[in-house]
Amino acid sequence: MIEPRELSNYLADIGDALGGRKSYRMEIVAELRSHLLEGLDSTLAGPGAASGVVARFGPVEEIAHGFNALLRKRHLRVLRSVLALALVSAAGGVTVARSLSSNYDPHSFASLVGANSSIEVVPGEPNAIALDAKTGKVIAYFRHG
Amino acid sequence: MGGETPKGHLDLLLLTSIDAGARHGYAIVEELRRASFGAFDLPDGTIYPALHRLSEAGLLVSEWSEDGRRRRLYTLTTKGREELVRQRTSWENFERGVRGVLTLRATR
Repeated sequence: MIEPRELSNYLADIGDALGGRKSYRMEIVAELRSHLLEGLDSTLAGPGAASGVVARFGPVEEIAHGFNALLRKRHLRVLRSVLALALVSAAGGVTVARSLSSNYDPHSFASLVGANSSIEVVPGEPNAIALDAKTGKVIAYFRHG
Repeated sequence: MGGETPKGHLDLLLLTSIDAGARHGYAIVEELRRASFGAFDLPDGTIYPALHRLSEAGLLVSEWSEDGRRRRLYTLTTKGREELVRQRTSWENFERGVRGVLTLRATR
């Protein structure tokens, strides 16, 4: 089936409205695409079929809002872990590391922790939080792209 | 519910639908619409953030399936089953209470 332009445009708008890393956004869009195409299969062919499926799916803002709210909660959870690590370092200088989900976006994460001078955001592999025992600095690593 | 479906109810509906077997989002929406005789007619897309939220909470797992069309299938975890029992019990208690009050009013 050739994907109607209306569907492609709608999905592109959702992708643009989503936060997070490109791979995360692409996964979500792929899942939503599958649903929309399924809906199109079940609809009588003709003008307006794609519009109907898109209208039934919901406004771009509403869909993106739902996913972005999840992302914000995830970021806050990580921020709490980072701050907890900072407290641990202040208490005893223990070096710990924790893996992060590949969904974290360094820019939005950095904006959450940027004011805290004891936390450094570094692009690199893999997504993880580590504690520099010497300096007590918490370092958050992120993959490129 | 053409209007607002409280988040708690949506979770119960989604977990119940997936309890019957691995489902993808489109099948879940269709099943809810059909089983509720049209009462639950949500915008299709709104279930996806909920499915992802339930997955992050450890209640669901998902994987891509490639039988003809690429779909993401959701399955309940053990924790998901336990949560479903908890929510179902809570709903049944609530429903029993409401029915009790409505019956009281009807007999007056």
